[in-house]
Amino acid sequence: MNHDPPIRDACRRAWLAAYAEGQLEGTTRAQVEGWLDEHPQLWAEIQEQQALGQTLRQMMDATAPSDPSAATWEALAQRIQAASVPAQHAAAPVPSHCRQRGLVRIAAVTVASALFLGGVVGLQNQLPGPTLDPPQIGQVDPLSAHPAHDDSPSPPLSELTGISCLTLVREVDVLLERVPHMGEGWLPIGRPPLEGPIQWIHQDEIEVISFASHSSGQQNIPCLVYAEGDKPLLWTPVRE
Amino acid sequence: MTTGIKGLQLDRGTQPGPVRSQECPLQNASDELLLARWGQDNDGRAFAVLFERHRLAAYRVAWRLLGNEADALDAVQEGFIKVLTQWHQFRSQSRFKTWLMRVVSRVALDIGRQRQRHQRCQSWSREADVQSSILACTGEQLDGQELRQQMSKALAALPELQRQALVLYVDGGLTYREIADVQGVSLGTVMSRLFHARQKLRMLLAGQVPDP
Repeated sequence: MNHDPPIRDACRRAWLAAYAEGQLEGTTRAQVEGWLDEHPQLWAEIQEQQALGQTLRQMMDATAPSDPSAATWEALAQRIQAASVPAQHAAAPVPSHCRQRGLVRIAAVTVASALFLGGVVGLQNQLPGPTLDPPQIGQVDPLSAHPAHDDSPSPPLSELTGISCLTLVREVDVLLERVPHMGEGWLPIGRPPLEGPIQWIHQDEIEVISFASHSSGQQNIPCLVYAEGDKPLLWTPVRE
Repeated sequence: MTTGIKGLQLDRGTQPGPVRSQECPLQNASDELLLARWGQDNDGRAFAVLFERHRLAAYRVAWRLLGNEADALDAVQEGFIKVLTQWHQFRSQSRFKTWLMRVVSRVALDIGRQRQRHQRCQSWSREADVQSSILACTGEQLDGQELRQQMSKALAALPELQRQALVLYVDGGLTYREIADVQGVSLGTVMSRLFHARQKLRMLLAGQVPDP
């Protein structure tokens, strides 16, 4: 973290803009207020960002699309309702700890059943013991279960502990396309094929301003600001 | 004139068609309760209230990302269908609205990409063209229709994730934290995206947005 006047840094201007919008709380808010105490001239930046945000919001309000007609909404509602028969077999949403308990119970019952069956078969066959096939762990069809890129809120990582095989997507969730000059395979893509090598972001294009934890449970994610664009970035987690 | 659609009450005579409170005791229910009612009981009234409550924000987000009514309505339709059929996947760690906006905005971006594959010659989506066309209007106040066109062009010139963040913030009414959840990034990245989006819009809409 450098101690140059923060106004020169795009990242700190971004923080000031977020503060101006009233979107900071807790330690981040306190951090910005510390900057403001230290550099009172930054209030001018706050006012500028407030004015810009307000002007753009007014312009976007003024240019919002006109609402569809009531008949359009009605027709849309009919189509949605007709196509959205909820899955009746699905259980009501349950808290994650209940799901975890449920998984533990299922696992316990499965293990107990296997032991019981194994014991019975073993007794019946005397030695060499049970001849049941081993459980087919890890042989789940990777294209048949829940998509990782689904649109449901992400579960915390702790909930995933103990699951040996996570499937990614189902075949119906992705578009398979042959990518030119990338061999003979078909790649699942979510966007048009890449036109060339991925350009990773350079270290001198970013500034790490702090580290944070994401709501998904990831730790030590660098809070950073980088030059315009959305080039991908790799980082090594900080060891504490 | 009021029409009934399997528990749905929409009023043709007003804009937008309200669900009359005296006809629908669920009017003040939380989104989560309504979703559960819909999923467990296939309650059409719960659907009607949820739809009425969020359709406009969903439509505006989709429209901003797509630029026309037909595609935006398609995105809203597909987004609602996804969340309503996958209602059991909703977890109360986030708001229903955040989930819906995530789905609708993703659908809208997908539709936009598909459209771009077929219409790769959208000249105004290129930043240089946008700047030149907008700067031609610098200094004169635009009327409503022109301003809307210029705003659409300027938004289209933003990088996709900046545009999504800005639209979710302004039109979707999400907080920075909720946008971070939607985009799967840190709060700092959302700050950066929104900051750069505003700066670029200021540049692109020069003459309409006062300089500091």
